[in-house]
Amino acid sequence: MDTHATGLAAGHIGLILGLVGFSLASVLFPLTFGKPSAQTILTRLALSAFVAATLAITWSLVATGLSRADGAGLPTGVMLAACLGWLTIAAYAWLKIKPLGAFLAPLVTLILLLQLFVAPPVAGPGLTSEVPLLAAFHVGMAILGQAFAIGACGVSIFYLWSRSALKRRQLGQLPAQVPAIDRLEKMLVGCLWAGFAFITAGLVTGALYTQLHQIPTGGELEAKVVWALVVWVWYLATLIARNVLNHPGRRIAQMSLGGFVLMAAAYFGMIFFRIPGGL
Amino acid sequence: MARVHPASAGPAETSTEAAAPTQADPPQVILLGANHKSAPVELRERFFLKPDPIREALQDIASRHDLAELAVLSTCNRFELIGVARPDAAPNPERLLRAWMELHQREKSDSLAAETIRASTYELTGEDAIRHMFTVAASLDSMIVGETQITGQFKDAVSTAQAVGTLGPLLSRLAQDALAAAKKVRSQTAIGRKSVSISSAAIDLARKVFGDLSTQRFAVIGAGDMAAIAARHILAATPKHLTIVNRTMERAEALTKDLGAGQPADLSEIFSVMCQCDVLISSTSAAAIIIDRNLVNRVQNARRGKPLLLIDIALPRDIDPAAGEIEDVYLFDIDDLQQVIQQNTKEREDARDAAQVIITEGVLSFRKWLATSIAKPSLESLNAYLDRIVKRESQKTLSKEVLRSLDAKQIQAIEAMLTAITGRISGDVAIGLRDLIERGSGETAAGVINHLFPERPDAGENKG
Repeated sequence: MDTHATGLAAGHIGLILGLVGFSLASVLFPLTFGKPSAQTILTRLALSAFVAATLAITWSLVATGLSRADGAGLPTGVMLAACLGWLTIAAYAWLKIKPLGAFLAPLVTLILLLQLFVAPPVAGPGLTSEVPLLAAFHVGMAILGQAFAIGACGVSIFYLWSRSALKRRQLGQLPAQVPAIDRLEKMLVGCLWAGFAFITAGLVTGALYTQLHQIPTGGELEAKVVWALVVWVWYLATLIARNVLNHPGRRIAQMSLGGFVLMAAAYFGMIFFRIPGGL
Repeated sequence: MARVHPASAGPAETSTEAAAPTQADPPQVILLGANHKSAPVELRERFFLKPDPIREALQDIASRHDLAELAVLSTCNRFELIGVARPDAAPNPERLLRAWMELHQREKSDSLAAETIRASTYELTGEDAIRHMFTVAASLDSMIVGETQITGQFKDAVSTAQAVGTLGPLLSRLAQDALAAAKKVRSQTAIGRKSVSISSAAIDLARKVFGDLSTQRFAVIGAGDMAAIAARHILAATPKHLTIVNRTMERAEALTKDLGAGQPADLSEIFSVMCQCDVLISSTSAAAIIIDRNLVNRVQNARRGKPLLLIDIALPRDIDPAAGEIEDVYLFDIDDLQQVIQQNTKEREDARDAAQVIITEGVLSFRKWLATSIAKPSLESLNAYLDRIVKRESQKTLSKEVLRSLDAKQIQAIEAMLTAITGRISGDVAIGLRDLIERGSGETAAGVINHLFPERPDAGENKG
């Protein structure tokens, strides 16, 4: 077996292991909301599975990328999954938002399943020397933008849950192992700003790339650009609502959920309708 | 707590002053105490003594009542005398009763009748007293289960006894083990994790909304007792800023002066105060609402939607309940806090079983130490006794005519055999004693050994 085939096989094994780990984490994370006595051990197990799965798909990306000397790209779904995995781990380590994985683990599992069984084998350019740096930068920015927007959606869910419990004065129903609502709001706005900045950078670099390399427009590319612009406008409106119009935290969280729905529609729409090039 | 009668408290408590102890009797902890369950507040007030008079009188009282060790735990809800009788005196709580009376007579000129004390106290000896000490230190016997003050008071009582020299090895080790178990109870169970007072529950609530309180600005409306307690709890959380708002500026100023922190403000400035604060606790005696929905609405507009936590601990309420409907305003009243407290109290009570397990482990460990410390001199006494017999009998036997022909090597072999026999006997007794200690009967067994093999030069003369 040559180096290329070995790398692809290793990448595939990493992907399968990652899928198993994220599936396990998807089952374990919701259980952490149950009995307080079992919370610690279940959280540890769920996080262990999540970290192991993130490492596995990161390894899968590295193995696949190194083996593709022919310039073929990396699967963007796996790149997004790895990005979400590391964001969740960072949120746990620095912000102590432990159950974020309850929302992200099933989502990452779904993304990986689609990548394996539905999406085209290679949907985007990889970070190899043969691929122009601008295109690689565009893909990186777009994926980071999506990851932060998904993170904002996860934080919004916990924000709305906490707010509802506080408004109804049901303190016993506050989600366990989640930061205070004030901090959740700050994290939400932070994620929105970061997501917006990356999506903007992705759009700008994408436009530059198509212009510089004279990529033919029309069809799938236009659909992709339209969806990306819709998502971008939505997040811009959300940030204006927060910072200029002083809309309450509840409205911002709801808009963030709306943005996620739009983005999911764009992402899954591209995959299911088999538009070459994907998102 | 009901008075413990000798008949119901086990054999250790049936000893009377007339029953003279033998030197072999192991030392026993004796305790006489009154707490919120056994004595009404009027009596507890009379029992209470400040640390200074206790320090001055403790040593004298201990020696006058044949107590080798003595400590006094005096708090607003508890007055307890814990002692260990001298080896030549009976371990009877009656000694503590007389010590109690004398202490109060001396320090307060309060002639408490023996019957008055007896009717409202409990007396415990041996393991009951040991377990009680562990329970008190872990705050399981407190009026508010899990409160932390008692541990400090317990440490103070131990330090006082140590300073005046009435804390011997037994009480010292007991206090050390009880405090270690208390620490374990606090860290490993939910006994002290949740707040059970209105003010501390309010701070916990603020933590749920804002997390780190050191970056938050607080305001307290009112300058009465409840407001002062709330302000103290807030200051303990080291907030960014505290404002005391009151209708009478002088009272607000007096409270900030008393607290040594905070900024006073007049109630007329409430709008600007609310615009700047993140948490507002209201505790006035106003008959009508002082913060209405319109005011909160205007405040939130000025705050640009920044979250505001309003906690109304006044009765009748100070804050319009409709203010809670405004976006990013979280309003809680005293009923909500009561629910929190009830839930927290239940959780503390639920943690009692887990705490009892830790205490039982602590008591067993202390008893093991006690039995081992009692057994050590007993075994030394037994070894000395056997050595004396071997020495005497070997001298007697080897001096006989028939054995005169033995050379030095043969004599050495005989002596080695005798030493091996006594070593084996002593070793077997030590194993048996350790086994009895494990099973909890070590103190009695050690006492029996002490009695059978006393450390006297003539011991064994008639038995050998």
